[in-house]
Amino acid sequence: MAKLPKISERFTGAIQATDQAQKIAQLQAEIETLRSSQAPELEQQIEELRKQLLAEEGELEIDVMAIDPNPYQPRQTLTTESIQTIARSMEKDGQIAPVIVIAQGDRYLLWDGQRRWSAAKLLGWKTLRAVKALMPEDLHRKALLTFIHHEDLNPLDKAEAIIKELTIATGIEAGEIPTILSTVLRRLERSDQANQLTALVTATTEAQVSGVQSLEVNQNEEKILLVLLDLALNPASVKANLMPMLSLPKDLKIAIREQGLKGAHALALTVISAKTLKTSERQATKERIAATNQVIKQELTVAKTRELVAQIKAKYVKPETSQSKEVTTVVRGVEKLSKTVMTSTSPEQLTQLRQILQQKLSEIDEILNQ
Amino acid sequence: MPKQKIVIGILANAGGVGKTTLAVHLAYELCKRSQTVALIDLDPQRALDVFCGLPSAEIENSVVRVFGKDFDGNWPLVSAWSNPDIEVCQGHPQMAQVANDLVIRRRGEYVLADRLKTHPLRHDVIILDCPATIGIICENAIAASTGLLVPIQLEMKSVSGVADLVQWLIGIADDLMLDPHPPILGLIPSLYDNSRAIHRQYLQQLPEVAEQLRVKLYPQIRDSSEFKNASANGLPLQKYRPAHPAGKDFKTIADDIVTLVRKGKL
Repeated sequence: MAKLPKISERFTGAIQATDQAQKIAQLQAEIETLRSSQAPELEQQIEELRKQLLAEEGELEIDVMAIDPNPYQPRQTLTTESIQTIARSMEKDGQIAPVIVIAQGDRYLLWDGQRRWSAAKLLGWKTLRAVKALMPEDLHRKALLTFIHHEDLNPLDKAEAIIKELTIATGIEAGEIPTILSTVLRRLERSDQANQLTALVTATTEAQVSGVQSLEVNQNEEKILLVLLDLALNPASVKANLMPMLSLPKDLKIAIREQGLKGAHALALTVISAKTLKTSERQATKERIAATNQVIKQELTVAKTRELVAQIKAKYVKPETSQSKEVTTVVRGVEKLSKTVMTSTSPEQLTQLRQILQQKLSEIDEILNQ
Repeated sequence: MPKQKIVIGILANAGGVGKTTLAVHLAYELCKRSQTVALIDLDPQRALDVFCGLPSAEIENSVVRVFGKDFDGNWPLVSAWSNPDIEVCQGHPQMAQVANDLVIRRRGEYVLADRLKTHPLRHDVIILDCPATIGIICENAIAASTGLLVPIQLEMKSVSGVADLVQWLIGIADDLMLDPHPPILGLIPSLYDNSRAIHRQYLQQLPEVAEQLRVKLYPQIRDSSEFKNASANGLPLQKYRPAHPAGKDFKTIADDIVTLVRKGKL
């Protein structure tokens, strides 16, 4: 009788998967530890503020309807899903942390707790626990700084918040800002000074001012660059990653805000336009919305998204033909091939030439007859 | 908030390897240890009915109702062997169709878990008897389970099935974003026949495999024709032939689960 196969061989895949899962769990635990040991960040800062306020003024019970949302809240996008998640947890465990409000007459402006407030309305709660803070002088700027470096702010909200800050701080009109920014950046790139600008992101305010002045930019350009640098933003990356968000078609903006579409994906999808597809605005929008839904539903990577876009484009536009240098060279070469040369060539070589020419001829016929 | 119940999914990825035998005898042993037990039959073949001596249930009195969109929380339960502490939610062939519908239903993989959360059962332990093939019903069982038991017959078909099952489980628990992943509480060599060379040989090899899979290996459950006689009479072996030594093969598993229940209740 043949030897029985060992069962361990059958388990190779399962054992590998087990080991892998174990390693992933370990890595995740490490990431958690790193994260908590690193930047204490936003949550902790807010927590401290909350504690401080609680100690100073104590906690209040505030009528949900007496709270106004913060118009400068840069997080314009709150998905229904994220509100429902909070609502579920509030329903189960109650409101854990008080929201932070600023008293304004007999009403309150919401400073921190947008989602808890929305969830409370959803749950039909009448009141929320809150602590009161004083009105900061530069509410928008502080809110912006708090949120701008927060990763769950989507690029569209970020871009709009930055434009808002730029108009307030510089007095330049919102519509002109992207143009001014891209003009100055293009010029700096040409004069090889773009890196100098990027290096200023982490510099002190004084160094930023003198650094920007040394770049010989005009007054408006200087204002814009300084505001961005002051917010610890790299102007080049604002221009490349955020400004294009502002001119996205409406359907893509909605997808970013409500369905969590990522910026890079949105940019890839903008290629689907009436102009590139050489079709009607309506048809292009239809295609773009369908593609957007597919990208979100199947969680396509940026590369896969581009592939999808290319496929759609190919449906509408035949690949363009153009003059080919290679063909021109060959035509000249064949013309130069005189009878004298051919007469003195070996029959083997001539046969070979004939074979190749015949093959190419049939290929050409095939393409031309299509 | 009440502590989470112990929900045990019994999975094998092969037919006839002793899933229902394990479910029934484990339930009986747990009951002897003063635990209340619910047995839920997710298998369209509804073998649990035979083992519990129950007449087939009408569709509206079966587990199909629990999976219905309009389930009102009224679990269809009947007691087994006239023991009020062991109740059965009976299976139905229609579950095969339910599986097809679940595929396109929102939260289709979580229906059972959602039901147990919204309409909790009173029992200390819930045992899920799963179909032999992996699929959305098994995914429901996994999403609802706090732990899994895997019977394994020491023959290549069952061994291969278990190997695939373990690998699939890791992926599916990730996909379903279960936190924590329900652990495999143990591999249980079943239908073990000491007179067969292949059984002896594979039983010897199993500890090493289990160790590499980081899974506990339970003592084997022997094969005995008395299991068949007992189930033909709709009784667990411990009741049909109280003195039969095979009845004791479930002891360690039952003890471990009682420990889990106690821990959960602390």
